[in-house]
Amino acid sequence: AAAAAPSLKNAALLRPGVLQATRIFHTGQPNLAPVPPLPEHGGKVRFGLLPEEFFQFLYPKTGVTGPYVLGTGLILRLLSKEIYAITPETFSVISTIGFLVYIVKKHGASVGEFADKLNEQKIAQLEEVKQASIKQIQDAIDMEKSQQALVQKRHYLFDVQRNNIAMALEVTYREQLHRVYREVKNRLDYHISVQNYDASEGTRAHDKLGGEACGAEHLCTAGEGNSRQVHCRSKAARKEGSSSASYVNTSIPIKTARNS
Amino acid sequence: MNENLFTSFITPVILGLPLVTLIVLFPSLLFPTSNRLVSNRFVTLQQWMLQLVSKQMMSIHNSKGQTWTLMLMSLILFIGSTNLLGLLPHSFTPTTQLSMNLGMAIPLWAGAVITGFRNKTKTSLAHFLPQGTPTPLIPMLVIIETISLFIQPMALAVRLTANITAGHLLIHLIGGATLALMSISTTTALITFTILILLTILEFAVAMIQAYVFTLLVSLYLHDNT
Repeated sequence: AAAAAPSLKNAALLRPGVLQATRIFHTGQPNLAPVPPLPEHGGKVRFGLLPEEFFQFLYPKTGVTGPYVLGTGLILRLLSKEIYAITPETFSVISTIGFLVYIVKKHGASVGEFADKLNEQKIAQLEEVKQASIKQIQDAIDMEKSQQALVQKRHYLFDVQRNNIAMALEVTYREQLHRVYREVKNRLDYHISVQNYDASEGTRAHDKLGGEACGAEHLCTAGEGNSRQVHCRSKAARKEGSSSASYVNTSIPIKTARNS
Repeated sequence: MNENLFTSFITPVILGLPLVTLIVLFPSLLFPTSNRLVSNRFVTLQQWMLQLVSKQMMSIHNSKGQTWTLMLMSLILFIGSTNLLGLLPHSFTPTTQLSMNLGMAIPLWAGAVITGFRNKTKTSLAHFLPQGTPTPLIPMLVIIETISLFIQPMALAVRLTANITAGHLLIHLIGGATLALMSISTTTALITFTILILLTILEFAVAMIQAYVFTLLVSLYLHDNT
């Protein structure tokens, strides 16, 4: 793939990394031959020198004592024929070898355990690092999952907010609708009351005053001068813009007009 | 008996071929290298021991002195293993030969001193005069210090040779005494044999201590001169 992609890497005579690529990394066995795995424990020996198989080999013919008799005989022959001569060195042999055997018998196992402990400590250190790293990543995954779960549940919050807003909008709408209704109703009530008044009082007073001051839009029905003033005032109020204040203004003069 | 005592110190030659080369090279076979993280017990113990010794011995030096670590560690391993192998019966110890010890001591000492003279000339020359000497004594003291400087390699070599040779000789002698006393009085022979056992234990200790002392002194000379 690296050779396929055209790049500066292929421009030179010897591409960078080629020399290193030819070096074989430790992917296989250290030897070229297929070496069998080493056993964990060596062969069993007696006296540290003679393999157990030798004793098993002699067992059918000579029984248990066979190899021991053979050994004793050989040693005695060496000594008696002075093939091995007793010299001062013999005593140093006895003391040295005896000392070494004593040390090995006494402390051999503990030294082996110490070596095993050293290796175990080394592995435990690395294992701890690995476990810490795994745990860290696992914690990150769990936190991420919990946060994702929280995000899943956020839509409840949004629904609630949406509902709240919808309710507020609805309330505002209805409130405005009601206000509009009240204003319109107020206007219409006024007109109705004016009509009723005109119907009951007659149109003569209105004709006396004349209807030139008022525009053609409004209902120029018959009424007294005060009612005409009320008309214009109400038109003016309509021009200013409908508001409950002007609404109140129009209702109160009607009452005062009637009373007076 | 005279001839018997010193036969163990003759340089071994087989059919005219120097066997001593093989004997000197043999201890290197006992220190296998392993690239694994978890090796066998033998290699693990050796690595642990080497780490312990190198930490203890090279921590006093500065970075320039610590470049000698490989040299000093291989030195202590060689002398220690050679001495210990020499305690086995019928074996030859190369460190009993003065020629070999001189060959180890003189180059190492000379290297340390010449490094000191080249890099820190004033300090090296100042070592010839200890601090706080009264003025009339100065000439004599300079001569004495010079002599003591030049005797250092001799002392290193002869110390090692003498200790190991004396130990081997004593073992041989006391073994001979035990042998001779066996036919005369067995009890005395047993006492002598006990002495031999104690001596063997001492020799094991001496073998390791001498290696340590040699290397320590070389490192001290190095410390003075870096």
